[in-house]
Amino acid sequence: MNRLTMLGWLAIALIAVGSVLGLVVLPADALQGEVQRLLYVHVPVAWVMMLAFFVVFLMSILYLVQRRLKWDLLAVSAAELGVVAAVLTLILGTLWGRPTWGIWWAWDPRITTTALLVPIYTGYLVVRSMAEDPDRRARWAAVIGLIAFVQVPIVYLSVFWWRSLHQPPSSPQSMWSAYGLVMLLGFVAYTLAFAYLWLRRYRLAATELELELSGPEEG
Amino acid sequence: MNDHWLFIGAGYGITWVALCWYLLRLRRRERAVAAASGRGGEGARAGGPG
Amino acid sequence: MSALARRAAAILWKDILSETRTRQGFTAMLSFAALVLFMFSFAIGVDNDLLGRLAGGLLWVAIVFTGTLSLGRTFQNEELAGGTRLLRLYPGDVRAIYLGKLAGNLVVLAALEVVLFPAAAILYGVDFAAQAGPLLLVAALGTFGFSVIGTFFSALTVHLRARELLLPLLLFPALVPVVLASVGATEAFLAGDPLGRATGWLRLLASYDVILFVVCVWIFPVVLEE
Repeated sequence: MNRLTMLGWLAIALIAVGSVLGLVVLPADALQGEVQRLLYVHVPVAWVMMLAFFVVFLMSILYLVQRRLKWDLLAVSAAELGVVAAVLTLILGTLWGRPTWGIWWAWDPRITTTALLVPIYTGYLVVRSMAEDPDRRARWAAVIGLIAFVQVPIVYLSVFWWRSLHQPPSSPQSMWSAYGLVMLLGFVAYTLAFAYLWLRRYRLAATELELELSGPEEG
Repeated sequence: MNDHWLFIGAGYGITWVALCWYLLRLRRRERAVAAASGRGGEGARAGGPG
Repeated sequence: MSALARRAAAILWKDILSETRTRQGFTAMLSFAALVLFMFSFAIGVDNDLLGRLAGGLLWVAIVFTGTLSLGRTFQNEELAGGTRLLRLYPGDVRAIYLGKLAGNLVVLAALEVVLFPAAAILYGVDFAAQAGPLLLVAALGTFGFSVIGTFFSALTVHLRARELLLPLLLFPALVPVVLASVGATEAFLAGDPLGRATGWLRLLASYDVILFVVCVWIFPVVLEE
């Protein structure tokens, strides 16, 4: 087994352990009841989403500075995972919100901004898929990746002023309880899963680019 | 209280389904690329989890 | 710097000349904007109180929709005449192209708003005139923000297939702060600003305008590179 495959199995094992702990081992939360269990997935997946989009931003900058296609491929790999994580975060959030708040959707800054991230980075992926030339494609994608990262905090701030209702992020004091440890495990597990999928997606993109550049013999 | 388990199950279920879906999609594309480049062994080794 | 301004002005003047020679585009745009205002009334009903309360939001949505259609025409002349290769043939700093096109979009949108604000005032029964000064500031900042982002994304999408669809997809999320702040400030001023929220919105809008303007001007040469 090579290192990447080992990373993948480790991530899956940790996610499995985290799921068992979160679903079966831990007792229900005193305040929120059973539904608290969803947060052990929701919060780490939301973190992965933010991590992924931050990686897109970093890779976009690196591409614009160095103009190596490698950075573009790393960026698009992260963007794809970021969109998946964003959609998953929204689904988990609504599943948690319905029993907790009694409503599926609240016009809360974090929810609304997350929902807006989906079209932003879908636009990124679509623009990238439409350009034929690898360098052009990389350049436009990098520009969108950069602009998106500039606009997102202000989108968040403006929605925040517009309306607010979300429960505050988990506070550090609560992190060292059993719940905190399971949450921490979730963070580690999903971050490793992200790293694994990201690198594997990057390897795929690199092979695809090689094929594309090597000429017309692809079917 | 009981129907909360419906939401919890759906949440965990969807997360696992999403992970598996993404892995399978990756593997399908990897196979396609490996077939196109005529290096069959590469794709099989890249199989990994999922 | 003055060379940059001169080149931008030349591009603006060229576009104004070619636009005024036909004027069909602008007339069609105005009709579209009027239709959007009517559609809102049809959707909401003839409740004058309700329309009056929603006027700020409806007006800005009409501006955004109509403006997006007009943005698609930003690089139309060059595109028809040989694509953006032509743009790169313009001498000097390519940023002049961005600034010139931005100015052009500002002129078009300002002309649109000169008609749209009174039309909304009449149709929805609101008194914009009483708050003319503050509302002018809101309109100026909102329109500037819209044009900054819109001009940039039209340059980015101009050579893409399905750009009519991609432009709004990229543009609308980026416009969220502009729309929220413009609507927030417009509604606050119309209500006499009882909670004092208008200043906060204006500050947010102005900061967003400045930040995006700097980023767009800085990165624009990358968009037009070959």
